[in-house]
Amino acid sequence: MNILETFNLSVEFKARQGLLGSVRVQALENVSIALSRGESLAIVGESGSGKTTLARACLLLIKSSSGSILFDGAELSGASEKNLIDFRRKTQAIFQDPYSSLDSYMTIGQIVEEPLIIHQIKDATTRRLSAENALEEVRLSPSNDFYPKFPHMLSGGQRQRVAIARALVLGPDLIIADEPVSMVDASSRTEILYLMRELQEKHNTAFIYITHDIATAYHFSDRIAVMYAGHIVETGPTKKVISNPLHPYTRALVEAVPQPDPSNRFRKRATIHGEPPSAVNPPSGCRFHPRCPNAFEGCDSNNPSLIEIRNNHEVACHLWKKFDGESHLPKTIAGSK
Amino acid sequence: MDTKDILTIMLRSGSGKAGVALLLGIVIISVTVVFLFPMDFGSKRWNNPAAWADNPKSVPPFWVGLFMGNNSIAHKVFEVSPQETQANLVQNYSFHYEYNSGKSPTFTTLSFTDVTFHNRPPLLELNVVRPDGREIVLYQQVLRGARPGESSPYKRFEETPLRVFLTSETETLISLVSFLEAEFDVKTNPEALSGLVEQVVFGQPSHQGNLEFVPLNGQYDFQILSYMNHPSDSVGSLKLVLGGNSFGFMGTDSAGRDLALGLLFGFPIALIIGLTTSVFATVIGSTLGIISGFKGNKTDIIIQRFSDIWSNVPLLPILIFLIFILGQKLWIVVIIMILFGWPGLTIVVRSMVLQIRTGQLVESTKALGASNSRIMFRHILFQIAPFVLAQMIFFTPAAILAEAGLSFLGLGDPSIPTWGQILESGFRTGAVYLGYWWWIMPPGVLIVITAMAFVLIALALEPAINPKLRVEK
Repeated sequence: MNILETFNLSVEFKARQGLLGSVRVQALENVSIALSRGESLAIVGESGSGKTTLARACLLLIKSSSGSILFDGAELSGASEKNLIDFRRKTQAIFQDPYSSLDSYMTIGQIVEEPLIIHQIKDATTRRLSAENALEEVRLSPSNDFYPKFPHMLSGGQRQRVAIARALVLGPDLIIADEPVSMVDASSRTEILYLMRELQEKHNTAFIYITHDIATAYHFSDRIAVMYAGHIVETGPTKKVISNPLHPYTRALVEAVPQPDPSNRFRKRATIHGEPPSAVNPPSGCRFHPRCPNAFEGCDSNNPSLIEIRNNHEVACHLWKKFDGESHLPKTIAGSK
Repeated sequence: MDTKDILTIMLRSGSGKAGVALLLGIVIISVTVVFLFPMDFGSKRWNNPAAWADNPKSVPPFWVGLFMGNNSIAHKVFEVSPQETQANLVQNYSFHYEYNSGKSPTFTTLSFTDVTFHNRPPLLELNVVRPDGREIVLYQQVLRGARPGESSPYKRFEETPLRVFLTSETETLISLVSFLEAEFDVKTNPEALSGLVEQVVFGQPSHQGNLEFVPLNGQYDFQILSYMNHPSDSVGSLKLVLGGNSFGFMGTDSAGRDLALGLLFGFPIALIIGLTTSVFATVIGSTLGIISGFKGNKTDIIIQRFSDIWSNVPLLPILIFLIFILGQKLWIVVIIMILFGWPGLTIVVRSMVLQIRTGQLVESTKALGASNSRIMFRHILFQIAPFVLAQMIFFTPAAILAEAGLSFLGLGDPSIPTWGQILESGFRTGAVYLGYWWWIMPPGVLIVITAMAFVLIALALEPAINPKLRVEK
């Protein structure tokens, strides 16, 4: 059974305009994802594509305007916070900014113990043991040394590992990590990513990894979903999608990964021009058509829906056949392991 | 982090040391005062003129007298405590007074307490033998006899003593007129001598026959005699007061009240006013601010609009109005200051919470499943705690000052002396224009010192509360 499933999930925000007026912003539209136990899913897209909104909607931190969210088969959208206690215990989040997601007035020990306190683990010795265990697991050892420290005494990488320890301490079934390494020094990035994957495999935790970096997604996920302007435009097994991207946006993302090959000096890369569309006033038809190098007449009126091309590889593009099988995997992505 | 750590960090800075020392002093004085002073000090002592009748009025502290040289005259009180009934029908008490000053005492009073007699009232007499050997009978009085319906033994002056103000006592004046005529050949009348009693008793005419006197220094022997008519007649305590022109550690006001006592009593009162008001106003203000900012929507609008209206209610007319209706009670003043003290904090705290609410801290805590109250009071409160604490500490002197201001307008609680009321009574009686600095300055300085203690602590407390400002050892 799928641990998490969304079906036609849409999220709408109201944005204030002028003194009294407000406009609707469609942040997510009909997004369906499914995640089985122990699986890891990468959600990739540029800024404003709605990937963080999807994470927040999946964490039930914001209300979805339509669609459903199933956790372990139970419908959760619209549930009151009281009925979410079990979900909150089994689902944990790791946020982008380790500088603001940890309470600077709490010691590392208090931070890691907090989920245990919230979820009614009353025995202080048990709490301390599990918290120290979690700290050791994220290689903050000896955990005794870190226990009385405050977050501002740690480096960015260490703080993010504290956040991971906090997410792990309850032994969750699902962890949603929203750009967990984008604000961490480049030197600690891979270390944290490998640590997360190791822990994920060890505990068989399902994982949603939200990133704008398609190269890391290649290595740290089983499946990938590419988002553009609130829609999923392509999804499938990570290796297949990246080695054979069918949507022009996915192709552009893969192309954007720099490749240290001297022969590339004279090769013009197929970059996409322009800005992501405004969510207040999205383009008609395919959201990507104003920037798409291959757009034709039908694209501006007819919004393509996801179609399964072959075993789980789905794409939302009228022209997918044009690109099928022609791409090759960039060396940087394949060889960075 | 426990209290010990906070103290250690706070004491590391100079302002922390100074602030803690000042506050410690204030607290020690307050506690001592609470233990030593009767709780009804204000109504029973401070505002009871009889309690201060024997003190000189509007005189500077005794240590000012030390600089006045020959012009200083110390305040002298001779007192005899009650004695058992003596077989002797004539009781005799004597006091020796070493007089060596260029000024004569400012006033003279004689008091009797608790006189008991059986058939005829006793005769009381005060006389003095001067250094030149001359003797003056200053006072002679037969107490009033039995009233119709009264039965023996008769008791007089049990609670309020009989206080004879010799300085303007007619009998004394008459006695002095005959004394001057007999000894110095000065012919005068009681009216001309009024106000000159002490100069006559403690001096001699500068020239033959005129009414200018020079002090006569030396030892004066006062003798109080009581002639009884029955063996079990008795007189309780006797008190002879020779007024000085300086008194106590802090001088006296125009009612003769010892300002040192009033100022001491002001310490616990100031602390109670300041701390109660600031703690409650801060708790209400920050709680409402956090709820308003965190909950948003209607709750936010209701709290904010109410704060806006509430903070714009003119406090002074309301205070005057309410005090007029409810009476001049200190607790009413404190409650009103609490009720009107919170809206400003609510508005500022709300704006801080709005910023924190959208941050990842709240989101990540929510994702953990924390309840709203936990997010509000375990996380958000801690983020704004340094500000709230600083506000609370800054609000303490503000409350003390506000009470002083109200007292200054005559809206204080008359039964409890505060520094503001001492200032007010000084101002009202024109102490400023008369140059009674010992009446005006100390309460003002004490208010400033108390305020400063809190401000210094607020400065030193910031690094203790905010770990980011702390330097690691």
